[in-house]
Amino acid sequence: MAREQLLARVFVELADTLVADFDVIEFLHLLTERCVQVLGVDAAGLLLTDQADHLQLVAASSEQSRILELFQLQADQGPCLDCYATGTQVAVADLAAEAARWPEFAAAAHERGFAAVHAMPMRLREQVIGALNLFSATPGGLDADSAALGQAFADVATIGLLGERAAREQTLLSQQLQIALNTRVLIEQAKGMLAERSGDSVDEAFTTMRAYARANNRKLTDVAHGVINGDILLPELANTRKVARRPPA
Amino acid sequence: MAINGEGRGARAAKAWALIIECAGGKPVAAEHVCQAVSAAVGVDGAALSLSTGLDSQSLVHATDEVARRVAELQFSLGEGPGVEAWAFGGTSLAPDLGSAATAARWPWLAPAAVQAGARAVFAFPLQAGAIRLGTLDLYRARSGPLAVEQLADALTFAAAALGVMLHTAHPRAGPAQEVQPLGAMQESRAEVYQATGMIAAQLDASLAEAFVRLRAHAFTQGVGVAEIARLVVSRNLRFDPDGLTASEAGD
Repeated sequence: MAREQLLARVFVELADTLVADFDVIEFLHLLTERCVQVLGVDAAGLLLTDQADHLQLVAASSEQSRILELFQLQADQGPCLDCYATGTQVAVADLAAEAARWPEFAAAAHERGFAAVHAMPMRLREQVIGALNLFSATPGGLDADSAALGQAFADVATIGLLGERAAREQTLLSQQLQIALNTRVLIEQAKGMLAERSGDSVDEAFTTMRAYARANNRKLTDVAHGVINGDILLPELANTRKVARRPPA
Repeated sequence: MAINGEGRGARAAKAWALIIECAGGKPVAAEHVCQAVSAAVGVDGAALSLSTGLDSQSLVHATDEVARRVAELQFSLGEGPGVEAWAFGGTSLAPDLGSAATAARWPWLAPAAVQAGARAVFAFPLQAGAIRLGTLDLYRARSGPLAVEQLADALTFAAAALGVMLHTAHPRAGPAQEVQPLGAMQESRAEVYQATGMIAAQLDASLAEAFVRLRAHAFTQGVGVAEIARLVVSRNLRFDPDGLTASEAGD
C-alpha cells in the first residue's frame, strides 16, 4: 500500500477510536503501534509529565520489558527528556556518537539493539505535556517527511488524550493527565497479578488482557479492573489467549 | 520547567522533610500532612478524607473549621471537587467557586462552600492505580488558580499522604516515617506496580497491603523499592503469606 493510503487509513482508524467513553491507554497504544508501521521505526513510546517532576511512560508499541525499560530510562536521561524540557524535536541519527551526552541511555539503547532515536514534543500552546519517542535499529534517523509525520502523531496523541475541552481548560488538563497516568499504573498492577496467577511473564499477561478486551469488545482498563477484582478469572483469559495465538487462516 | 537533572526527587524529599518537621517527633499522621501542605502550597487549609465508595466517606483530619465544613458539605451533598477527584481518579481544581461555570457544575456545593468561607477548592486523589484511599482537599478563602509550582507541590504532598494513610491502615508494615516517601523517582517504575500485583496474588492480599509490604521490605533490606520489585518480577523473590519477610525462591 502506498504510504499516503496507509496514512489516510491510520488517521481514520485513530479518529474512529475517539468515540465517547474511549479507552485512553488503548488509543495511545494503538497510536504507538501505527507510528512504527507508518514511520518505519522499530519502537515507539509516549511519555507524559506527572506535573510534579517526572516523565512517565503511558504507552508503547511493544510491551516487552526490555523495551519498556528503555523508555522509562528516558525519564532520567536522554533525548526524550531533553525534548520535553526544550519543547523542540530532538533527533539523534547515531546514538553511538552521542554517548558522552547521555552515557547511561546510549549504553542501554545500544545493548537493546537501537542505534537512532527521535523525540517529538507533545505541545499544547506554550506548554509541553510529554513526548513521543521513536527508536530505530539502524543509524540514519528520519527524513524530513517522516519527522513531520512523527510530529503529527504527537499532536494527535495530545488532542486525543486531552479532548477538546481539556485542551482549552487548564483545570481539566491536569485531571486528564492524572487519569491517564493512573490508568497506566492500574494496568501494570493487573499485569503483575495475572502473571503471578498464570505463571506467564508480565509481557505475556499484557498480551492476554488485550486479546481478551478485543475478543469481548471491552475496554482494556475495564479488563484490568476485572483481573484485579477477580471478576475475570484465569480460565476465561487463557481461552482468549489460545484464540489470539492461533495463526490467521 | 521543573524537570531537570537536580530537581527530580528533591521535591518529594523536601515535602517529606516538612511533614516530619510538623510531626515534631511523633508518628507521622494525616494532621501533619495537612499542616505541611497548607504551609507549603500557599492555601488556607487542608482536609484529608478516606472513601470506600461515593456514599461512604469519612474525614480523617481538617486543619480548621472551614476545611472541615467543605469536606462535610461534599459528603452530604454528594458533589464537589473532592467527590469528583475520587470518582474519576484525577485532580479536580476549582479556582473560583463563585464563578457561573463552577456554580453550574456543582449547584449545591459551590454556594454552600463560598458561604462556609472557601472561594477556591483543589482536590487530589490518594491513589496508585487500583489503590484508591480518598482525597486531599485544599481550600483558599480567596479565588485564584494554583501556580504551576504549587500544583506540583500539591501533587507531591498527595503522594506522601497516600503513603502515610497506607501505613496507618497496615501497621504491621511499620510506621510511615521509617519508609522513604512515595513519589520518589524510582517508585513510579512499571516494575514496582507489576511487583505489587504479583505480591498481592502471592499473599492473597489487597494491592494496598502488597504495596506497603513491598516498600517495608525494601526499607528493612536497605535497598531501593525498584530493586526489590525487579527481583519479584524476575521471580527471584517471593513474599510468604505466613510471615513478614520475603523468601528467596529456589534455594
